[in-house]
Amino acid sequence: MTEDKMIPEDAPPAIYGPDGEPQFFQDPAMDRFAAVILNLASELWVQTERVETLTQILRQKGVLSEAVLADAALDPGREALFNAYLDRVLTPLRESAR
Amino acid sequence: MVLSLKHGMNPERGADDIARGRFVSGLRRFILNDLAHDMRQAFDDRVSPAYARHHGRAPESSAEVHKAMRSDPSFKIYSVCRVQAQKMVWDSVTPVVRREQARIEQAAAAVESKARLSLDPSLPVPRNVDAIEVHLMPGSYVGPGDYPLAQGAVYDQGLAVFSMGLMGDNLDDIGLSMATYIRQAFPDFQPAAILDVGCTIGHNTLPWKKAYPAADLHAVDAAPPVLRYGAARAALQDTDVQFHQMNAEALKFADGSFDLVFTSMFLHELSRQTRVAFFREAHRVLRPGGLLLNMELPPNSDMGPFEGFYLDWDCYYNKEPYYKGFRDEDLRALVRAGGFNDADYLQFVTPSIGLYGADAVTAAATADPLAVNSETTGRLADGVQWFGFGAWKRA
Repeated sequence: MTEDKMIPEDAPPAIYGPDGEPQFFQDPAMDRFAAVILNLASELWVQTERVETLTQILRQKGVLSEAVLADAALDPGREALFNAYLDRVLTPLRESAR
Repeated sequence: MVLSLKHGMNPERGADDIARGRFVSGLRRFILNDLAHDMRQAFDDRVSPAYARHHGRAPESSAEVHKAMRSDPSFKIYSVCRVQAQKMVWDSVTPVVRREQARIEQAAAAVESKARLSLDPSLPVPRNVDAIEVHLMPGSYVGPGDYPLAQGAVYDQGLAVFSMGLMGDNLDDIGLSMATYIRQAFPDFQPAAILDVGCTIGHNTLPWKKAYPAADLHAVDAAPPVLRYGAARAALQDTDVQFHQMNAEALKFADGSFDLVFTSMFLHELSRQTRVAFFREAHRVLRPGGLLLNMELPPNSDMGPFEGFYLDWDCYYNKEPYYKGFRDEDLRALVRAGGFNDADYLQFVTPSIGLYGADAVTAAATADPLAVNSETTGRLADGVQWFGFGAWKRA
Protein backbone atom coordinates (compact mmCIF):
# COMPACT_ATOMS: atom_id res chain seq x y z
CA MET A 1 0.00 0.00 0.00
CA THR A 2 1.30 3.41 -0.94
CA GLU A 3 0.64 5.36 2.24
CA ASP A 4 0.16 8.88 0.85
CA LYS A 5 -2.37 8.00 -1.85
CA MET A 6 -3.83 4.90 -0.14
CA ILE A 7 -3.66 2.84 -3.34
CA PRO A 8 -2.30 -0.73 -3.65
CA GLU A 9 1.47 -0.66 -4.03
CA ASP A 10 1.51 -3.12 -6.95
CA ALA A 11 -1.02 -1.08 -8.94
CA PRO A 12 0.40 -0.37 -12.42
CA PRO A 13 0.55 3.46 -12.73
CA ALA A 14 -1.16 3.34 -16.13
CA ILE A 15 -4.48 2.23 -14.62
CA TYR A 16 -5.13 5.64 -13.07
CA GLY A 17 -5.55 8.98 -14.83
CA PRO A 18 -3.66 12.14 -13.83
CA ASP A 19 -6.35 12.77 -11.17
CA GLY A 20 -5.59 9.45 -9.47
CA GLU A 21 -8.97 7.94 -10.39
CA PRO A 22 -9.33 4.72 -12.46
CA GLN A 23 -9.16 5.22 -16.22
CA PHE A 24 -10.33 2.42 -18.51
CA PHE A 25 -10.51 3.93 -21.99
CA GLN A 26 -7.59 5.46 -23.85
CA ASP A 27 -9.49 8.72 -24.11
CA PRO A 28 -10.59 9.63 -20.55
CA ALA A 29 -13.66 11.41 -21.94
CA MET A 30 -15.06 7.96 -22.78
CA ASP A 31 -15.06 7.03 -19.10
CA ARG A 32 -17.03 10.14 -18.30
CA PHE A 33 -19.55 9.63 -21.08
CA ALA A 34 -20.14 6.05 -19.98
CA ALA A 35 -21.07 7.39 -16.53
CA VAL A 36 -23.49 9.88 -18.07
CA ILE A 37 -25.18 7.15 -20.11
CA LEU A 38 -25.79 5.09 -16.98
CA ASN A 39 -27.11 8.13 -15.14
CA LEU A 40 -29.45 8.80 -18.07
CA ALA A 41 -30.65 5.22 -18.08
CA SER A 42 -31.44 5.55 -14.37
CA GLU A 43 -33.32 8.81 -14.81
CA LEU A 44 -35.23 7.41 -17.75
CA TRP A 45 -36.34 4.43 -15.67
CA VAL A 46 -37.42 6.65 -12.77
CA GLN A 47 -39.57 8.67 -15.15
CA THR A 48 -40.93 5.57 -16.85
CA GLU A 49 -42.18 4.29 -13.51
CA ARG A 50 -43.69 7.65 -12.61
CA VAL A 51 -45.44 8.08 -15.96
CA GLU A 52 -46.77 4.54 -15.72
CA THR A 53 -48.26 5.24 -12.28
CA LEU A 54 -49.73 8.60 -13.23
CA THR A 55 -51.20 7.38 -16.48
CA GLN A 56 -52.86 4.53 -14.68
CA ILE A 57 -54.44 6.84 -12.09
CA LEU A 58 -55.48 9.57 -14.54
CA ARG A 59 -57.07 7.10 -16.90
CA GLN A 60 -59.01 5.60 -14.01
CA LYS A 61 -60.27 9.08 -13.08
CA GLY A 62 -60.92 10.19 -16.68
CA VAL A 63 -58.94 13.47 -16.35
CA LEU A 64 -56.04 12.91 -18.75
CA SER A 65 -56.07 15.41 -21.66
CA GLU A 66 -53.42 16.99 -23.91
CA ALA A 67 -54.38 20.53 -22.73
CA VAL A 68 -53.75 19.61 -19.10
CA LEU A 69 -50.37 18.15 -20.03
CA ALA A 70 -49.34 21.25 -22.03
CA ASP A 71 -50.30 23.63 -19.19
CA ALA A 72 -48.25 21.62 -16.77
CA ALA A 73 -45.26 21.67 -19.10
CA LEU A 74 -45.22 25.50 -18.97
CA ASP A 75 -45.37 25.68 -15.17
CA PRO A 76 -42.44 27.86 -13.91
CA GLY A 77 -41.56 25.19 -11.32
CA ARG A 78 -40.39 23.00 -14.18
CA GLU A 79 -37.14 25.00 -14.48
CA ALA A 80 -35.97 24.09 -10.98
CA LEU A 81 -36.85 20.44 -11.60
CA PHE A 82 -34.98 20.54 -14.88
CA ASN A 83 -31.86 22.09 -13.33
CA ALA A 84 -31.76 19.41 -10.63
CA TYR A 85 -32.13 16.78 -13.36
CA LEU A 86 -29.22 18.17 -15.34
CA ASP A 87 -27.07 18.14 -12.20
CA ARG A 88 -27.91 14.50 -11.48
CA VAL A 89 -27.19 13.24 -14.98
CA LEU A 90 -24.32 15.40 -16.14
CA THR A 91 -22.19 15.66 -12.99
CA PRO A 92 -19.52 13.20 -14.28
CA LEU A 93 -18.66 15.76 -16.98
CA ARG A 94 -17.72 18.42 -14.41
CA GLU A 95 -14.11 18.80 -13.35
CA SER A 96 -15.27 19.07 -9.73
CA ALA A 97 -16.82 15.60 -9.90
CA ARG A 98 -13.53 13.91 -10.74
CA MET B 1 -35.67 -6.00 -7.03
CA VAL B 2 -36.49 -3.52 -4.27
CA LEU B 3 -35.47 -4.49 -0.75
CA SER B 4 -37.29 -2.85 2.17
CA LEU B 5 -35.30 -3.55 5.34
CA LYS B 6 -37.27 -5.36 8.04
CA HIS B 7 -36.43 -3.17 11.01
CA GLY B 8 -37.64 0.06 12.58
CA MET B 9 -34.84 2.26 11.22
CA ASN B 10 -36.49 2.65 7.87
CA PRO B 11 -36.56 6.11 6.29
CA GLU B 12 -39.61 6.84 4.17
CA ARG B 13 -38.77 6.61 0.47
CA GLY B 14 -40.64 8.38 -2.30
CA ALA B 15 -41.67 6.67 -5.54
CA ASP B 16 -38.63 8.11 -7.34
CA ASP B 17 -36.26 6.85 -4.62
CA ILE B 18 -37.72 3.36 -4.94
CA ALA B 19 -37.50 3.44 -8.74
CA ARG B 20 -33.89 4.70 -8.59
CA GLY B 21 -32.92 1.93 -6.16
CA ARG B 22 -34.60 -0.66 -8.37
CA PHE B 23 -32.63 0.61 -11.35
CA VAL B 24 -29.26 0.54 -9.57
CA SER B 25 -29.84 -2.99 -8.21
CA GLY B 26 -30.87 -4.11 -11.70
CA LEU B 27 -27.86 -2.44 -13.28
CA ARG B 28 -25.56 -4.21 -10.82
CA ARG B 29 -27.27 -7.54 -11.49
CA PHE B 30 -26.62 -7.02 -15.21
CA ILE B 31 -22.96 -6.08 -14.63
CA LEU B 32 -22.15 -8.79 -12.07
CA ASN B 33 -23.83 -11.59 -14.00
CA ASP B 34 -24.04 -10.75 -17.71
CA LEU B 35 -21.02 -8.47 -18.18
CA ALA B 36 -18.95 -10.69 -15.86
CA HIS B 37 -19.91 -13.66 -18.05
CA ASP B 38 -18.84 -11.75 -21.17
CA MET B 39 -15.51 -10.91 -19.57
CA ARG B 40 -14.87 -14.59 -18.78
CA GLN B 41 -15.82 -15.52 -22.34
CA ALA B 42 -13.47 -12.89 -23.75
CA PHE B 43 -10.68 -14.20 -21.53
CA ASP B 44 -11.15 -17.78 -22.73
CA ASP B 45 -11.75 -16.92 -26.41
CA ARG B 46 -9.20 -14.20 -27.13
CA VAL B 47 -7.26 -12.77 -24.15
CA SER B 48 -5.74 -15.98 -22.84
CA PRO B 49 -4.88 -17.36 -26.33
CA ALA B 50 -3.26 -14.02 -27.31
CA TYR B 51 -1.23 -14.03 -24.08
CA ALA B 52 -0.16 -17.62 -24.75
CA ARG B 53 1.02 -16.71 -28.27
CA HIS B 54 3.30 -14.03 -26.78
CA HIS B 55 4.50 -15.81 -23.65
CA GLY B 56 4.30 -19.46 -24.60
CA ARG B 57 1.86 -20.12 -21.72
CA ALA B 58 -1.48 -18.94 -20.39
CA PRO B 59 -1.56 -16.28 -17.62
CA GLU B 60 -0.83 -17.96 -14.29
CA SER B 61 -1.66 -15.34 -11.67
CA SER B 62 -4.35 -12.81 -10.88
CA ALA B 63 -1.87 -10.00 -11.73
CA GLU B 64 -1.05 -11.53 -15.13
CA VAL B 65 -4.73 -11.89 -15.98
CA HIS B 66 -5.33 -8.28 -14.89
CA LYS B 67 -2.53 -7.04 -17.16
CA ALA B 68 -3.76 -9.11 -20.09
CA MET B 69 -7.41 -8.05 -19.64
CA ARG B 70 -6.72 -4.31 -19.29
CA SER B 71 -6.85 -3.61 -23.03
CA ASP B 72 -9.82 -5.86 -23.79
CA PRO B 73 -13.15 -4.09 -24.48
CA SER B 74 -15.02 -6.52 -22.20
CA PHE B 75 -12.88 -5.41 -19.25
CA LYS B 76 -13.29 -1.72 -20.07
CA ILE B 77 -17.05 -1.94 -20.39
CA TYR B 78 -17.44 -4.08 -17.25
CA SER B 79 -15.16 -1.80 -15.24
CA VAL B 80 -16.48 1.58 -16.28
CA CYS B 81 -20.03 0.37 -15.59
CA ARG B 82 -19.11 -1.17 -12.22
CA VAL B 83 -17.42 1.99 -10.98
CA GLN B 84 -20.35 4.16 -11.98
CA ALA B 85 -22.93 1.70 -10.58
CA GLN B 86 -21.04 1.73 -7.27
CA LYS B 87 -21.23 5.53 -7.13
CA MET B 88 -24.93 5.31 -8.02
CA VAL B 89 -25.56 2.97 -5.06
CA TRP B 90 -24.59 5.71 -2.59
CA ASP B 91 -26.13 8.48 -4.71
CA SER B 92 -29.47 6.65 -4.66
CA VAL B 93 -29.71 6.59 -0.84
CA THR B 94 -27.79 9.62 0.45
CA PRO B 95 -30.56 12.16 -0.37
CA VAL B 96 -33.14 9.91 1.36
CA VAL B 97 -31.03 9.65 4.51
CA ARG B 98 -30.47 13.41 4.53
CA ARG B 99 -34.16 14.21 4.00
CA GLU B 100 -35.28 11.67 6.63
CA GLN B 101 -32.91 12.87 9.37
CA ALA B 102 -35.73 13.64 11.83
CA ARG B 103 -37.39 10.23 11.41
CA ILE B 104 -34.09 8.37 11.78
CA GLU B 105 -33.12 10.36 14.87
CA GLN B 106 -36.57 9.83 16.42
CA ALA B 107 -36.40 6.07 15.82
CA ALA B 108 -33.01 5.94 17.57
CA ALA B 109 -34.17 8.19 20.43
CA ALA B 110 -37.17 5.94 21.07
CA VAL B 111 -34.90 2.98 21.91
CA GLU B 112 -32.06 4.92 23.53
CA SER B 113 -32.65 3.31 26.94
CA LYS B 114 -32.47 -0.17 25.39
CA ALA B 115 -29.47 0.45 23.11
CA ARG B 116 -26.24 -0.79 24.71
CA LEU B 117 -23.36 1.34 23.54
CA SER B 118 -20.05 2.35 25.07
CA LEU B 119 -18.01 4.93 23.18
CA ASP B 120 -14.43 5.91 23.92
CA PRO B 121 -13.83 9.54 22.96
CA SER B 122 -10.10 9.15 23.68
CA LEU B 123 -9.71 6.62 20.87
CA PRO B 124 -8.62 8.05 17.51
CA VAL B 125 -10.44 6.68 14.45
CA PRO B 126 -7.84 4.68 12.43
CA ARG B 127 -6.84 6.09 9.05
CA ASN B 128 -8.10 3.05 7.10
CA VAL B 129 -11.57 3.72 8.55
CA ASP B 130 -11.94 7.41 7.76
CA ALA B 131 -9.26 8.48 5.23
CA ILE B 132 -10.29 6.26 2.31
CA GLU B 133 -13.74 6.39 0.77
CA VAL B 134 -14.02 2.62 1.25
CA HIS B 135 -15.92 0.99 -1.64
CA LEU B 136 -16.41 4.51 -3.02
CA MET B 137 -18.73 5.41 -0.12
CA PRO B 138 -18.54 9.19 0.38
CA GLY B 139 -17.69 9.88 4.03
CA SER B 140 -16.47 6.29 4.51
CA TYR B 141 -17.62 4.87 7.89
CA VAL B 142 -17.64 8.26 9.62
CA GLY B 143 -19.71 10.80 7.67
CA PRO B 144 -20.93 14.25 8.73
CA GLY B 145 -20.22 15.38 12.31
CA ASP B 146 -23.56 17.14 12.73
CA TYR B 147 -25.63 14.05 11.88
CA PRO B 148 -23.97 11.09 13.63
CA LEU B 149 -26.53 8.50 12.51
CA ALA B 150 -26.20 9.40 8.83
CA GLN B 151 -23.35 7.11 7.84
CA GLY B 152 -24.89 4.02 9.44
CA ALA B 153 -28.13 4.75 7.61
CA VAL B 154 -26.33 5.34 4.30
CA TYR B 155 -24.44 2.06 4.73
CA ASP B 156 -27.60 0.14 5.68
CA GLN B 157 -29.77 1.56 2.90
CA GLY B 158 -26.87 1.45 0.43
CA LEU B 159 -26.21 -2.24 1.12
CA ALA B 160 -29.90 -2.92 0.51
CA VAL B 161 -29.49 -1.53 -3.03
CA PHE B 162 -25.96 -2.94 -3.49
CA SER B 163 -26.81 -6.49 -2.42
CA MET B 164 -29.59 -7.11 -4.98
CA GLY B 165 -31.30 -9.27 -2.33
CA LEU B 166 -28.28 -11.59 -2.03
CA MET B 167 -27.43 -10.47 1.51
CA GLY B 168 -30.84 -11.30 2.97
CA ASP B 169 -33.91 -9.30 4.00
CA ASN B 170 -32.01 -7.60 6.81
CA LEU B 171 -28.52 -7.85 5.27
CA ASP B 172 -27.79 -10.70 7.67
CA ASP B 173 -27.31 -13.60 5.27
CA ILE B 174 -23.56 -13.88 5.92
CA GLY B 175 -24.05 -14.06 9.69
CA LEU B 176 -27.04 -16.42 9.40
CA SER B 177 -25.24 -18.75 6.98
CA MET B 178 -22.04 -18.81 9.06
CA ALA B 179 -23.85 -19.31 12.39
CA THR B 180 -25.99 -22.10 10.93
CA TYR B 181 -22.94 -23.80 9.45
CA ILE B 182 -21.03 -23.69 12.76
CA ARG B 183 -24.01 -24.97 14.77
CA GLN B 184 -24.47 -27.88 12.38
CA ALA B 185 -20.79 -28.71 11.91
CA PHE B 186 -19.94 -28.53 15.62
CA PRO B 187 -23.07 -29.47 17.59
CA ASP B 188 -21.09 -29.78 20.84
CA PHE B 189 -19.73 -26.24 20.58
CA GLN B 190 -21.99 -24.03 22.72
CA PRO B 191 -20.43 -20.57 23.01
CA ALA B 192 -21.45 -18.67 26.14
CA ALA B 193 -19.81 -15.40 25.05
CA ILE B 194 -19.44 -14.18 21.45
CA LEU B 195 -17.53 -11.19 20.07
CA ASP B 196 -17.95 -9.68 16.58
CA VAL B 197 -15.01 -7.46 15.58
CA GLY B 198 -15.33 -4.79 12.86
CA CYS B 199 -19.10 -5.05 13.17
CA THR B 200 -20.03 -1.68 11.53
CA ILE B 201 -23.85 -1.54 11.92
CA GLY B 202 -24.07 -5.03 13.44
CA HIS B 203 -26.03 -6.53 10.55
CA ASN B 204 -24.04 -9.79 10.74
CA THR B 205 -23.73 -9.68 14.55
CA LEU B 206 -27.42 -10.15 15.26
CA PRO B 207 -27.76 -13.66 13.73
CA TRP B 208 -25.44 -15.08 16.42
CA LYS B 209 -28.12 -14.33 19.01
CA LYS B 210 -30.58 -16.34 16.91
CA ALA B 211 -28.13 -19.25 16.68
CA TYR B 212 -27.10 -19.15 20.35
CA PRO B 213 -29.87 -17.31 22.28
CA ALA B 214 -28.22 -17.81 25.69
CA ALA B 215 -24.88 -16.33 24.60
CA ASP B 216 -23.63 -12.97 25.83
CA LEU B 217 -23.09 -11.04 22.59
CA HIS B 218 -20.60 -8.19 22.12
CA ALA B 219 -19.64 -6.18 19.02
CA VAL B 220 -16.67 -3.90 18.39
CA ASP B 221 -15.86 -1.27 15.80
CA ALA B 222 -13.50 1.71 15.61
CA ALA B 223 -16.00 4.15 14.06
CA PRO B 224 -18.50 5.72 16.50
CA PRO B 225 -21.16 6.71 13.90
CA VAL B 226 -21.79 3.16 12.67
CA LEU B 227 -21.76 1.84 16.26
CA ARG B 228 -24.32 4.43 17.32
CA TYR B 229 -26.58 3.42 14.45
CA GLY B 230 -25.93 -0.30 14.99
CA ALA B 231 -26.86 -0.12 18.68
CA ALA B 232 -30.20 1.53 17.83
CA ARG B 233 -30.78 -0.90 14.96
CA ALA B 234 -30.23 -3.89 17.28
CA ALA B 235 -32.49 -2.41 19.99
CA LEU B 236 -35.23 -1.85 17.40
CA GLN B 237 -35.04 -5.58 16.68
CA ASP B 238 -35.09 -6.47 20.41
CA THR B 239 -31.67 -8.11 20.11
CA ASP B 240 -29.43 -7.83 23.16
CA VAL B 241 -25.93 -6.85 21.98
CA GLN B 242 -23.36 -4.67 23.73
CA PHE B 243 -21.60 -2.40 21.20
CA HIS B 244 -18.11 -1.04 22.04
CA GLN B 245 -15.82 1.49 20.39
CA MET B 246 -12.46 -0.30 20.39
CA ASN B 247 -9.53 -0.89 18.12
CA ALA B 248 -9.13 -4.52 16.95
CA GLU B 249 -5.39 -4.31 17.63
CA ALA B 250 -5.94 -3.50 21.31
CA LEU B 251 -9.19 -5.02 22.57
CA LYS B 252 -10.09 -3.96 26.09
CA PHE B 253 -11.36 -7.37 27.17
CA ALA B 254 -9.64 -9.60 29.72
CA ASP B 255 -7.80 -12.73 28.56
CA GLY B 256 -10.11 -15.65 27.90
CA SER B 257 -13.36 -13.64 27.75
CA PHE B 258 -14.97 -15.30 24.72
CA ASP B 259 -15.74 -18.70 23.21
CA LEU B 260 -16.18 -17.31 19.70
CA VAL B 261 -14.52 -14.34 18.00
CA PHE B 262 -16.18 -13.61 14.65
CA THR B 263 -15.44 -11.20 11.80
CA SER B 264 -17.15 -10.71 8.45
CA MET B 265 -15.70 -8.83 5.47
CA PHE B 266 -13.31 -7.19 7.94
CA LEU B 267 -9.77 -8.51 7.42
CA HIS B 268 -9.51 -7.19 3.86
CA GLU B 269 -9.89 -3.64 5.21
CA LEU B 270 -6.76 -3.97 7.39
CA SER B 271 -3.05 -3.76 6.64
CA ARG B 272 -1.06 -7.00 7.08
CA GLN B 273 0.43 -5.61 10.31
CA THR B 274 -2.99 -4.79 11.77
CA ARG B 275 -4.35 -8.21 10.74
CA VAL B 276 -1.59 -10.01 12.64
CA ALA B 277 -2.05 -7.75 15.67
CA PHE B 278 -5.79 -8.51 15.63
CA PHE B 279 -5.19 -12.28 15.36
CA ARG B 280 -2.95 -12.10 18.44
CA GLU B 281 -5.68 -10.20 20.27
CA ALA B 282 -8.31 -12.72 19.14
CA HIS B 283 -6.11 -15.54 20.48
CA ARG B 284 -5.69 -13.70 23.79
CA VAL B 285 -9.40 -12.97 24.39
CA LEU B 286 -10.46 -16.51 23.42
CA ARG B 287 -10.90 -19.17 26.07
CA PRO B 288 -9.13 -22.51 25.52
CA GLY B 289 -11.35 -24.50 23.15
CA GLY B 290 -12.71 -21.27 21.64
CA LEU B 291 -12.97 -20.49 17.93
CA LEU B 292 -11.75 -17.59 15.79
CA LEU B 293 -13.98 -17.51 12.70
CA ASN B 294 -13.62 -15.10 9.78
CA MET B 295 -16.02 -14.79 6.88
CA GLU B 296 -13.93 -13.38 4.06
CA LEU B 297 -13.04 -13.37 0.39
CA PRO B 298 -11.41 -16.64 -0.61
CA PRO B 299 -7.59 -16.59 -0.99
CA ASN B 300 -5.82 -16.45 -4.35
CA SER B 301 -3.85 -19.60 -3.48
CA ASP B 302 -7.07 -21.64 -3.61
CA MET B 303 -8.40 -20.10 -6.82
CA GLY B 304 -7.65 -20.10 -10.51
CA PRO B 305 -5.96 -17.01 -12.04
CA PHE B 306 -9.16 -15.66 -13.65
CA GLU B 307 -11.29 -16.19 -10.52
CA GLY B 308 -8.56 -14.49 -8.48
CA PHE B 309 -8.34 -11.56 -10.89
CA TYR B 310 -12.12 -11.16 -10.81
CA LEU B 311 -12.16 -10.69 -7.03
CA ASP B 312 -8.98 -8.59 -6.96
CA TRP B 313 -10.65 -6.02 -9.24
CA ASP B 314 -12.00 -4.19 -6.19
CA CYS B 315 -8.51 -3.53 -4.88
CA TYR B 316 -7.63 -1.34 -7.83
CA TYR B 317 -10.94 0.21 -8.78
CA ASN B 318 -13.24 0.19 -5.74
CA LYS B 319 -11.06 1.86 -3.10
CA GLU B 320 -10.20 -1.36 -1.29
CA PRO B 321 -6.41 -0.90 -1.08
CA TYR B 322 -5.78 -3.89 1.23
CA TYR B 323 -8.01 -6.34 -0.65
CA LYS B 324 -5.38 -8.07 -2.79
CA GLY B 325 -2.80 -8.07 0.00
CA PHE B 326 -5.29 -10.01 2.07
CA ARG B 327 -6.23 -12.33 -0.78
CA ASP B 328 -2.55 -13.10 -1.38
CA GLU B 329 -2.01 -14.10 2.27
CA ASP B 330 -1.21 -17.63 3.30
CA LEU B 331 -4.10 -18.01 5.74
CA ARG B 332 -2.46 -20.81 7.69
CA ALA B 333 0.59 -18.60 8.23
CA LEU B 334 -1.68 -15.75 9.35
CA VAL B 335 -3.39 -17.99 11.90
CA ARG B 336 0.04 -19.19 13.08
CA ALA B 337 1.26 -15.60 13.45
CA GLY B 338 -1.69 -15.03 15.76
CA GLY B 339 -0.53 -17.82 18.08
CA PHE B 340 -2.79 -20.63 16.86
CA ASN B 341 -1.55 -24.06 15.80
CA ASP B 342 -1.55 -25.21 12.16
CA ALA B 343 -3.34 -28.38 13.17
CA ASP B 344 -6.26 -26.32 14.52
CA TYR B 345 -6.83 -24.44 11.23
CA LEU B 346 -10.34 -24.54 9.79
CA GLN B 347 -11.74 -23.47 6.42
CA PHE B 348 -14.96 -24.09 4.56
CA VAL B 349 -17.43 -22.80 1.97
CA THR B 350 -21.08 -22.54 2.93
CA PRO B 351 -24.01 -21.97 0.60
CA SER B 352 -25.92 -18.74 1.27
CA ILE B 353 -28.82 -19.76 3.54
CA GLY B 354 -31.20 -17.27 1.91
CA LEU B 355 -30.46 -18.56 -1.57
CA TYR B 356 -30.08 -22.30 -1.02
CA GLY B 357 -31.96 -22.89 2.27
CA ALA B 358 -30.97 -24.26 5.68
CA ASP B 359 -30.84 -27.87 4.46
CA ALA B 360 -28.10 -27.01 1.97
CA VAL B 361 -26.06 -25.34 4.73
CA THR B 362 -26.52 -28.42 6.94
CA ALA B 363 -25.48 -30.69 4.08
CA ALA B 364 -22.30 -28.63 3.53
CA ALA B 365 -21.57 -28.62 7.26
CA THR B 366 -21.92 -32.35 7.67
CA ALA B 367 -20.56 -33.69 4.37
CA ASP B 368 -17.36 -33.16 2.40
CA PRO B 369 -16.27 -29.51 2.22
CA LEU B 370 -17.21 -27.59 -0.93
CA ALA B 371 -14.41 -26.62 -3.30
CA VAL B 372 -13.15 -23.05 -2.89
CA ASN B 373 -12.32 -22.42 -6.55
CA SER B 374 -15.72 -21.70 -7.96
CA GLU B 375 -17.17 -18.66 -9.70
CA THR B 376 -19.78 -18.49 -6.93
CA THR B 377 -17.41 -18.44 -3.92
CA GLY B 378 -17.29 -14.99 -2.37
CA ARG B 379 -18.68 -13.42 -5.53
CA LEU B 380 -21.82 -11.33 -5.03
CA ALA B 381 -23.82 -12.66 -7.97
CA ASP B 382 -26.36 -15.39 -8.68
CA GLY B 383 -25.54 -18.51 -6.66
CA VAL B 384 -23.24 -16.85 -4.09
CA GLN B 385 -21.53 -19.00 -1.46
CA TRP B 386 -19.54 -17.68 1.51
CA PHE B 387 -15.96 -18.55 2.49
CA GLY B 388 -14.98 -18.98 6.14
CA PHE B 389 -11.67 -19.71 7.87
CA GLY B 390 -10.10 -19.52 11.29
CA ALA B 391 -8.73 -21.70 14.04
CA TRP B 392 -9.56 -23.30 17.37
CA LYS B 393 -7.59 -22.23 20.41
CA ARG B 394 -5.94 -25.26 22.00
CA ALA B 395 -7.80 -26.42 25.12
